[in-house]
Amino acid sequence: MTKTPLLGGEGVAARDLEDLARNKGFSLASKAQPADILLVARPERQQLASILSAQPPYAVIEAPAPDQAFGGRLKRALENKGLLLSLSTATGFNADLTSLLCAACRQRMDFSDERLSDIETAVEEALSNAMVHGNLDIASVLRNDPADFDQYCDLVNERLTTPNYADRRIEILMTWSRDGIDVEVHDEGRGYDISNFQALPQVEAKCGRGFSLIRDLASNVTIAEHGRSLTMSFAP
Amino acid sequence: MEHSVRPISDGKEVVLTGRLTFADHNGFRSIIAMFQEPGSRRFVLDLSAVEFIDSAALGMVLLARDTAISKGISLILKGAKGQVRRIMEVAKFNKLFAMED
Repeated sequence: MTKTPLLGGEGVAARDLEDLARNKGFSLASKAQPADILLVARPERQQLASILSAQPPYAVIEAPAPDQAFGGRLKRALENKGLLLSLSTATGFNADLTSLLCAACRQRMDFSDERLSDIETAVEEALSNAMVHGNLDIASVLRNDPADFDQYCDLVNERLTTPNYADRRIEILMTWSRDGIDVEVHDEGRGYDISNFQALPQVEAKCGRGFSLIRDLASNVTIAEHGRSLTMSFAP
Repeated sequence: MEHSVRPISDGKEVVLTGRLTFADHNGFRSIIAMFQEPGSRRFVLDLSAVEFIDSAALGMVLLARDTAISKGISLILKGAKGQVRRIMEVAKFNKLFAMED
């Protein structure tokens, strides 16, 4: 059976790459050949944009990568020739991932501009929830009152540089089929209870709109892993 | 998101550009801090060069509104279009803000 080719980007030590390939059963790709999995160290937005403009890779994983980056989502990305991004929160937070993912989506599937705008809005909400409330573990209640907003900003800035929070993974798996696109967003936060999100937000509410937007815009929404995994399906 | 400020007759106009998202908390903090400066009666947020907004940024615009009200400043949203206009319509911002084309 052919082994999945793995390539390391700038900043990834050759020895780490060899160890990973050996432990996980991947082959090492040369820079001249396309690799299904690309391991990159602290990628910035421009680098991610350039990587995602080609296909393969089917998975872009930030190094150093924890074991869970090589689990079920990677398997599904490779099997379906989809796209998995597995990044630290520190990397994902400021990379404006939504616009990168939507550009990848536009390249790979023929959606109307209006439907792409729906996908963009819903994916953004899912990423915001996963990174701010999930991985950084910051309650949206701190955005309710101007008196608390300084505290909210300080907390976000502090946690983006605190390894226990900043290193938590955000994973996005996109898969395409004739029926449309599925986007799964996974975080490592404490999860949430979906029953808290059933009520429609008040007009003046500063938070709580995200999930109702997702529900309105996606064709189907599935929540798993106690709220740590949200899958949105979008028909064309 | 980037922003620039220009004086208008009775206050300030803040021109926002790019994408307004949850990652723009520090930018919004700077904008809200301007409301503390004395002398302004009117604040215009020019959104005509904003291409995308998320619900966290909508929440931050609402925080700006609360601060403006507490300071007796009138806050006007100007030039929203495309996705920004649509999401503000869904959020019924027309009931909360003076909105100009």
